[in-house]
Amino acid sequence: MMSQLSVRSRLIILSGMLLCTLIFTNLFLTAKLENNSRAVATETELSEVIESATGARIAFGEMRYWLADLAVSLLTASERNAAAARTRMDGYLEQLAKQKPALVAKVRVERAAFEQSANDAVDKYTNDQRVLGNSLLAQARNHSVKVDEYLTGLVDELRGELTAERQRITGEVRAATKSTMIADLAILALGVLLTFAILRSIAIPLRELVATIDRLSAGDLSVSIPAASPNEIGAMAGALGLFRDSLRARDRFAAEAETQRKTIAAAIATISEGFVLYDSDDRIVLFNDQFRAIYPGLSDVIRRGMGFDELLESVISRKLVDLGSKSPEQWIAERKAQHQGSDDFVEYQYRERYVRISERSIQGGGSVAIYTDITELRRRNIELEQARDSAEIALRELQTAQDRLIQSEKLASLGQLTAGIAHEIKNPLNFVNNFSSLSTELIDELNDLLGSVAMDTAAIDTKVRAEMDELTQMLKRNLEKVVKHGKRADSIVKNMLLHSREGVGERRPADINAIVEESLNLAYHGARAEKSGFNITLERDLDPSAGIIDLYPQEITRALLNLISNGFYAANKRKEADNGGFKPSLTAITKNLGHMVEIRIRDNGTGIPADVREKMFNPFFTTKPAGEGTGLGLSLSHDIVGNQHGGKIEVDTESGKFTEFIITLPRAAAAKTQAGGLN
Amino acid sequence: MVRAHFKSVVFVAILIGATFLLRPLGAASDDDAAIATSLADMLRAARQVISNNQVRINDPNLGDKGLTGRVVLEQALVIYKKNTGTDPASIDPASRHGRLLRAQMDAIVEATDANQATINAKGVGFKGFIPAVFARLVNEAFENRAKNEAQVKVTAPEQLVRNRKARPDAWETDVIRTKLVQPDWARGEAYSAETQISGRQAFRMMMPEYYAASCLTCHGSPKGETDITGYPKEGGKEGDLGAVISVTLLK
Repeated sequence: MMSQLSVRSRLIILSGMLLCTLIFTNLFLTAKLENNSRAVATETELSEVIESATGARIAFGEMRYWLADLAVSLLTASERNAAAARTRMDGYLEQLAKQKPALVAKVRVERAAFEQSANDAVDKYTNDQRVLGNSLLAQARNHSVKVDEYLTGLVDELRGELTAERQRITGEVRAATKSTMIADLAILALGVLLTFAILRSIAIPLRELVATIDRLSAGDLSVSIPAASPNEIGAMAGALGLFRDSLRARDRFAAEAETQRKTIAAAIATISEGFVLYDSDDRIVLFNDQFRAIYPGLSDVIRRGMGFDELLESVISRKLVDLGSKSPEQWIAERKAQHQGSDDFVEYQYRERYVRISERSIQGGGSVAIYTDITELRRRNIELEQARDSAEIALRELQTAQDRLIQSEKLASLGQLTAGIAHEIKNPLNFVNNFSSLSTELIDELNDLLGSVAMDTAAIDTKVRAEMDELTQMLKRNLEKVVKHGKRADSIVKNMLLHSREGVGERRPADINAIVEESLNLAYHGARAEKSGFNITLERDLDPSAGIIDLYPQEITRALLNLISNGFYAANKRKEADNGGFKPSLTAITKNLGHMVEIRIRDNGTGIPADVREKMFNPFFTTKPAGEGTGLGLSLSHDIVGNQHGGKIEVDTESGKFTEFIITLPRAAAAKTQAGGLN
Repeated sequence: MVRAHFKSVVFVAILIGATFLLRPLGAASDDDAAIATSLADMLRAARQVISNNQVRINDPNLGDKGLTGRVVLEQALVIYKKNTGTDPASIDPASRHGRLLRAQMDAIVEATDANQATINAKGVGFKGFIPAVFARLVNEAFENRAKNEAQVKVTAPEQLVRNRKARPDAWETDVIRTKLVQPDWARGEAYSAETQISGRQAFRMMMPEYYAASCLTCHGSPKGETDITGYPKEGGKEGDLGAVISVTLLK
């Protein structure tokens, strides 16, 4: 029958029965407690009466004492104390009169008689009537005994009543306790039986259901569901059947899904790039081994379910990415923005690798990221860029060299022109020089002739003679000047021819001091001719013992001209920068070193910086503005001294102060180079 | 009984043993007033002697103190003469003044000699033979000697009286309440009047006495605290009215 009831009905029946027994017990206890309360109230009243009677008795005792004390001491303080005790006693008697009025009336009569006798006795003592006082005090004592008897008797009577009341209460409480215990035991037994029966009716089918659920949880979908009864447990059994059916369907779908997943995973695994699928919460759903291979530093942490944020933090914490100038927080924020915001690609450097990440959002949330290792591709691009840069540099250098070649070609043409012009000038200059020399001789002959005529004829006036002498002398001096400057012009033209002539000329012994002197003059005049207003102080310290050296004079002159011209340029440049006050100077020094001869060309110009010193002997290297230098001067000089003559050329300089070139030439030529000049 | 005796006399003794501010009466020409004043002065003088000898009296190591009635009287006369400028010997013994003063001096000797056992008790410290007790004994002895002629009593406002014997009678209570304790009553001024006692005409004089600092040991603060005699202190202050010497001369 119980199994046909619902669980709720069964529990209501159980609770209702337990509740009823509880209410019954409470009603019983309440009735007993009320009875006890009344008994306790009675007891309390009796206790209060006893307390009042006892208080009155004590107060009377005090009153009696203080009156006796007053009789002896006559002190007014005792009188006041007796009065206070009397007042207290009146209070107690007033309370007592509510319960025992007749007795209180008798007490008051006796106490009044006592007071009267006692006060009279005190007055007699005060007036030194001791005998009368004693007599009156004896009377008072009789009254006080009566009062004491009344009150003591009352207290004893009340205490008897109180004891009887207490015994009655105790008996009732004991009986109530016994009844309550019996009722409790009966209720307990009934409750236990009912609880056991009802719980059993619930627990057995529930246990069967639990066993079924356990088997289902263990994966046994073949389990049979207990028969459904028309109550909650039956409903649960029905639901469990539906649940078992849904599990069977789920397993079927899961098997199909697993097949699909494996197919997709196999496809993804074949992709050469790293592949990652993130869900809508940016957690890794799927990835392939290539993704792990791209990030070897993260292979131990990459897993399904890993968040994108966690991935970025691992990258930062393991210092896998080159942050550049960004802070870790900035890099993460930027990366997340790219991840969430765009369907574009980004490239990052992870240690020595470069990775391109292409990210695409997918429908329904989440995203797909393709990670491509572009390290090799990038390296090739860099190499291509470097090759292109090198080609561009070479092209620029080639263009520069071409410009300089054009410049040197122009200079070469100028040299040829100079040689032609010098040759043309030399012919008329020879006429000038020859005829001026001849005229000088003719002047001498004229003077001799005039002298002989004068001595022979004496026909010429002395005064005329003197004027003629003076004119011929003047004419002679003029002609000598013409000869002197004509020779000088001839020397310049010769030098021009010498310098512009192709080839190295012949090797022969030559005076080194003369070569230095000639080079100084040629450079000086060349510079003055090139730039009006040019001036410099030339100093010479030529060792007379320097002597003769076997060399190519034309080539050495060319080398010296280059060094001297550079010295002029540097000194003049410093002068221009100095804005007056600076005096440019150049010094040429020769020194006999025995088998060697040393030539020093020193200027007080701008000096040569260290970086220029390294490259200054390179062909086509120049610091002069375009069009002013070819970059070949020092290169040729180095070649002439070193290769052609077996000597050496060194430089000592201090930036902003001076430059000194030191040429050392062997006295006997090395004859390294054949005639025909430089290539 | 001994305890009661002590308590009864402590109050007056302390009052008299102290230095009271007292103004002599101005009505010297009035015989009744002069006699009453003289009796009060003699009582104060004798009381002063007992006060001066308290340390000696209460010395437990000393037996015979040598403080006989004759000795006390001699010292009292010296004080009396000094305070009043009058030698009692110069007063006519046959006159009422001389007769009453003689009776009072005899009472002093009687009261002292009657208590020699107490005064000379060895091994007892505080003996309770204080000026107040002594004054009451002298007054009682004087009353016996001058019966039907004169009476001397030391009383006080009712709330300050410790011993019932010192309680003021109706006339004294009225004088204290309406005169002596009034704010406008001149300090130290005595009050006197002709009145009736038990059908007899009588001259009565009330002479106020005030608390000095030494009185407050027993009568001062805190109020209710027990003093050396076991009596609660009254909470009095220096200068408060503490006692009144009441003299009655029956006609």
